[in-house]
Amino acid sequence: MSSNNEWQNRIRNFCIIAHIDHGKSTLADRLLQKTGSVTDREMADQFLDQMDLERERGITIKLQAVRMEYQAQDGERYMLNLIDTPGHVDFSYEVSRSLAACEGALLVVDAAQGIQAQTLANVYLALEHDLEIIPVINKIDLPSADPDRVKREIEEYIGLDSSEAIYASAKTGEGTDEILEAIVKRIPAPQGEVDKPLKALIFDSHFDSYKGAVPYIRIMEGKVQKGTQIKMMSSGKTFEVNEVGIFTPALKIVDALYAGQVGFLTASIKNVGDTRVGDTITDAKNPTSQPLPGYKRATPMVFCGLYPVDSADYEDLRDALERLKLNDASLTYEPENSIALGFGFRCGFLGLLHMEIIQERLEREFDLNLITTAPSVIYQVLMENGEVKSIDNPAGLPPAGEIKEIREPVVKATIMVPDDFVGPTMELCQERRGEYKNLEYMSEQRVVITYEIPLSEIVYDFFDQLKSRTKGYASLDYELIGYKASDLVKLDILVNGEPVDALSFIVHRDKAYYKGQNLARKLKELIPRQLFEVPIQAAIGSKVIARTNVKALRKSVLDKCYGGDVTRKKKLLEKQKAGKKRMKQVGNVEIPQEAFMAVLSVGDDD
Amino acid sequence: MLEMMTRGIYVHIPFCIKKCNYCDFVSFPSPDKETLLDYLQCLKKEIKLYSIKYYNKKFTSVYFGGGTPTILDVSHLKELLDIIKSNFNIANSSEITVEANPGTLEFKKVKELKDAGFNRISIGVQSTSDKFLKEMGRVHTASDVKESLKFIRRAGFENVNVDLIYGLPAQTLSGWLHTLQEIVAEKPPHIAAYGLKIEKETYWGRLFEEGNLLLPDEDEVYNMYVEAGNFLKKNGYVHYEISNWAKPGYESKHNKVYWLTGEYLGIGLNAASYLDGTRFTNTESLKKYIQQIKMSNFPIRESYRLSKEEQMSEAMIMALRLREGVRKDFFKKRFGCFPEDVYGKQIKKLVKLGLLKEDLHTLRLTEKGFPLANIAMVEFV
Ligand SMILES: Nc1nc2c(ncn2[C@@H]2O[C@H](COP(=O)(O)OP(=O)(O)O)[C@@H](O)[C@H]2O)c(=O)[nH]1
Ligand code: SF4
Ligand SMILES: [Mg+2]
Repeated sequence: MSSNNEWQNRIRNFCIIAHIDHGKSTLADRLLQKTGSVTDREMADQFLDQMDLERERGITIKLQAVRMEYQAQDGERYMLNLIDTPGHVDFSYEVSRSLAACEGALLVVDAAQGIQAQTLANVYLALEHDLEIIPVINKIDLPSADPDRVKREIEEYIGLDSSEAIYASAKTGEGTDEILEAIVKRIPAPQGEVDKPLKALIFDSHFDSYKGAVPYIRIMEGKVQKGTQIKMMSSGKTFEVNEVGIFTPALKIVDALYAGQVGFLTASIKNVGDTRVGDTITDAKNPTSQPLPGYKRATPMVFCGLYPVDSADYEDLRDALERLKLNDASLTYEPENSIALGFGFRCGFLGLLHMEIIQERLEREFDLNLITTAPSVIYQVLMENGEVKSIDNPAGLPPAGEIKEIREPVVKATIMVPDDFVGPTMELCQERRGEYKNLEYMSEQRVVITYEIPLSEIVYDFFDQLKSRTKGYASLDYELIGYKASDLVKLDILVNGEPVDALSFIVHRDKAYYKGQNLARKLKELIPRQLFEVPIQAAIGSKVIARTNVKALRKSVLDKCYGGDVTRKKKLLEKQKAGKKRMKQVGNVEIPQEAFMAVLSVGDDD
Repeated sequence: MLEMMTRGIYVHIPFCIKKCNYCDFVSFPSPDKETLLDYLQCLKKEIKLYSIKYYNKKFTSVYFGGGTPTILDVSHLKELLDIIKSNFNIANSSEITVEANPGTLEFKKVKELKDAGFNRISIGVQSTSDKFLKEMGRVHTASDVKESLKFIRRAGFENVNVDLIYGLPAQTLSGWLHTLQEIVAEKPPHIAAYGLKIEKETYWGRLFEEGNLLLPDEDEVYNMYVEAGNFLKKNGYVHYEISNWAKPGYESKHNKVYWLTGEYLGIGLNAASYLDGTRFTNTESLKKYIQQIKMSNFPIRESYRLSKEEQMSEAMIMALRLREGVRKDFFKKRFGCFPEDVYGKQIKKLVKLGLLKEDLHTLRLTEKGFPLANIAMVEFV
């Protein structure tokens, strides 16, 4: 076969990019239905979001891909590959890899909300990859829809030609035909010569307990089939292909995959770590000279300690993490030891959402009862002796005397708000040690504000604060831009006179006093009364900056207990016992799980 | 060995003149005559339904509770008691209690109750302050209280309990002690004092949630409890259960059945029973209760057979409410092992915390342990 075959002309690889909730999944469902790729009966709502958690939260976490056959108005039958992208900033690297596997993108924008921060972030990514972008203005059925305004925003602010934007409603199905036609007419067919050495991009993978890690690939050049010796270009590891296939959306084995196509392969790969998103697969016997650009290892940005409440569950926690890691190469974990909490793991995540998802899956799918410590970022510590240490756990910060300088990660945050909320938004950024960069009008009433903010400030409740101060109108996107030296100190918490390492955190000196006070007060609320009075102190080094007391428990008794009360009494005690189980004994004091996360909700204004 | 053989019958009268502001008992305000009579008929029928099952068990106490049993005419109460006596094996020495509220009593009625066969009366006094009584939504006044305590005695009731509540909104320690003084002056041989508990589905529950009910703090309530104990002790009362005080010889036989996890049969709406290792509870719905009884069905909403472990756990938890505590030989006789064989670790821990006291024959809560009973009991769940 030679390049640009007839059949290649009838392939379209595309993805849908959108700000969260603008209708990506719903639109995907409509396309699948319209092309008959799934029958109405098979159509659980939001077909592509297959994990329960995704459906519940309405967020796409794990990528999916699907092939559709479409009979176009020109009389030809086309093969459309839709590659779904996660809709959350934690996963922007994954988004960029799926974009790299496509020639075009549907840009879905909510007709009522208009452009939001992730719309913009995604469009820029798509433009970087030279994708053909088809603007789709969705939800035109909403009474508050203003598609013409949104169309202007796209034109004026993003600078995309929106004269051919499609007005659609993924809910009613309006515009679906037009979208399918536009995919065929406006998105270019894939290029790439079949006769060249194999060059395939991994844009996702999943783990199958029989077949091993299954990379999802876009063949850029060459072909792959059963028996091909493949090589992962980042690691040099080789495997023999057992089968290749496509997504129909169920996995279906085919004889071979050719340049331009999207599919998967299996090759008895034991570890998803060997099928890293962004990596290039080539033919070990006839390798390509140049891997595809842009590969990078997904690096965790946020860390926290995970500990079993019951130390007997330690091994179970390890097994569970191992299982999750099989499917999620970006999750990292390492054994860690806390004086207060015993044995656990320091885990790394792409972001807060990623962290929450992993926690939730551990508790739900593996039935583990966990204590999570407050998230931390990675600090770079320049020691007096010139050495630089990376610190992902505040408890591990060396003594102040040995430190010359502490550097913290800084992000560029892009926030979009209606101009009424510029004041509160900037105030928040300022409180969070943000450095103002830019303010720009996107349309008459909407502005884009850019700040450089320490990542740790974003991690601590920034988004919730932003939402509440802007009545939910603001959207946020951020990317890591580097490290910056800061005047940071470690704040320790002492409970009953003993420092609790798992409660230590790193904070800017100017905020230490005030955070220490608030946290001590918060802990006082969270730690239940014990049989004795429990002092709580916050300290920097040996200097106590805040103190308070949890009073001793005096009376805890069901006063009335007669025949009819026995059941109630038992329930009460059972509840009390269950509550005890969710507490960690630290020294003599029982500390509830929530307390270890308390620092997260110690805002700047309470 | 006497305690091991006590067994009680409880009859629930779920009606009151009006609902008190803190009350979440199953009781309905101002019932009409017809409902009352209907309910009475059902009680009688339920008694007969059970007599076939339990005629060979000997009972040692009968307790009419509510609600307000004295909302009924004494003739009705007598009729019920007589039916119980003729359908069950009721020991001659039985303690037969009726609960009453001051607003529903007069000398003549009390006299009739005595004649009907009741030998103990339990009065829902709650407070001797008109201010508190009014706020609580009680139907009686402070002078009703004093008067009724006097004519109850005159009518020949020697065995009298007074129910009191402390920790009322804006109540002070001295106010509470004053109430106790006024009651003790009337010399009832038994006093039960309960800390106010705010229940969700009540008027006060709603006020509390809205932040419109100012309650004394935990430490103040604790002091009220401790000081009540001190005061009553000085006046010759023995603190024999977490919330109950009695002059020697006047402990409630019926209530001790519960605390010693003995057997009891509950008749009427929402009444609970514990017989042959099974706990069962009647429906809370008046309509369902009447329907079921009319069809000669047992009106049971849930029934649960306790495993031996559960029985042991309850035996510990309930008996620890009593000053006399858990008697090791009783426990062994009943379960074939000593408490320390099953709960050795827990007992050690609680002794170390100073909540529990162990000697050769018994396990008991300490003075410190009484108000912290939940902390101790949770170890036995
Ligand atoms: N009224 C209306 N609602 C829509 C439309 N498209 C999606 N939605 C709703 O918007 C919400 C978010 O949609 P979803 O597809 O999950 O968005 P995603 O986060 O971009 O995948 C869901 O409640 C959808 O039912 C539309 O065209 N009209
Ligand atoms: S008298 Fe007793 S049962 Fe009746 S409403 Fe008042 S507290 Fe409740
Ligand atoms: Mg979605």
